[in-house]
Amino acid sequence: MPGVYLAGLLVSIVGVAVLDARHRLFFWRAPWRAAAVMVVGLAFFLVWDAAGVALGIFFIGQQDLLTGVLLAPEVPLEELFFLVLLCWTTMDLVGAVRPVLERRAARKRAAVDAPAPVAPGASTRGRS
Amino acid sequence: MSGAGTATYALLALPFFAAVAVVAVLAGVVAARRARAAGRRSSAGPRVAVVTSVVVGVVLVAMTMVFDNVIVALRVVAYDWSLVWGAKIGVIPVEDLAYSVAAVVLLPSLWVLFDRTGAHDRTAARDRTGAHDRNAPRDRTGAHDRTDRRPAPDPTTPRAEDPE
Repeated sequence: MPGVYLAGLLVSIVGVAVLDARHRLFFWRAPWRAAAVMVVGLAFFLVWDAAGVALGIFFIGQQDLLTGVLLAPEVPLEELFFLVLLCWTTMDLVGAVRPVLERRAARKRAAVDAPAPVAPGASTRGRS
Repeated sequence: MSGAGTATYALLALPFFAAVAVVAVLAGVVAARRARAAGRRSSAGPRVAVVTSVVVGVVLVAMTMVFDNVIVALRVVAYDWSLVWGAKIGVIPVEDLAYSVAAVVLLPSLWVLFDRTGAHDRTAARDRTGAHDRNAPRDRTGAHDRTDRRPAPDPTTPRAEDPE
């Protein structure tokens, strides 16, 4: 069924977008900065794709799942959406993991070189 | 190992990894300079960045193995196996994972480099008073401020332990 792969990609992209919006991970944290990261990331991976295709390493297989729209020979429209999904998933994960590690590092540092309570409220917020 | 071929696909990754490494080093230099300018101890910054990439990398590579196996099995993508080294995970060549590895280093590095709010927030009073030590030593975006105030959005994080 042509278009199935694109539909799957779009559903997945909506999924990472919802996670982004819900937890303010990437575009919902800093839209322009995220857009710049996305554009450069897409360009980088499309060059990589083009090089792989030019060398004859990979190409479109025998299937009827693609729309048939091509961005370049052996580079289907779907590849762009796949790369959007790859980049967005990566940065959603980074946006989720980094603050956790930062808080952990800040706490550790505070415990090591600040014997006095770090800030008013900080020590009472948890288990009290 | 059936159909072991040349290292063409593997070698293709090298120039792209090199470009990623350059961007990552640049991001590290810029982040360290910003941390110094803001008077922050910079020791935690690079560590957090590296561990973030490792943790995200493990998750992303695992997700890629599943996704990629599906699209290769469905023959959305096909390979000239004479140009692929030969090691496979399921039906995919290991070289495919290079995209994910590059992504977890390149994209967060770009995120640091494209931070244009630093100059504004760095001069904010809260950074001078040391109030930032409480929780978020490097929130330079306003959005982060907002999320920071919500009570424990992440259940896996133990909240404020006693310093004693």
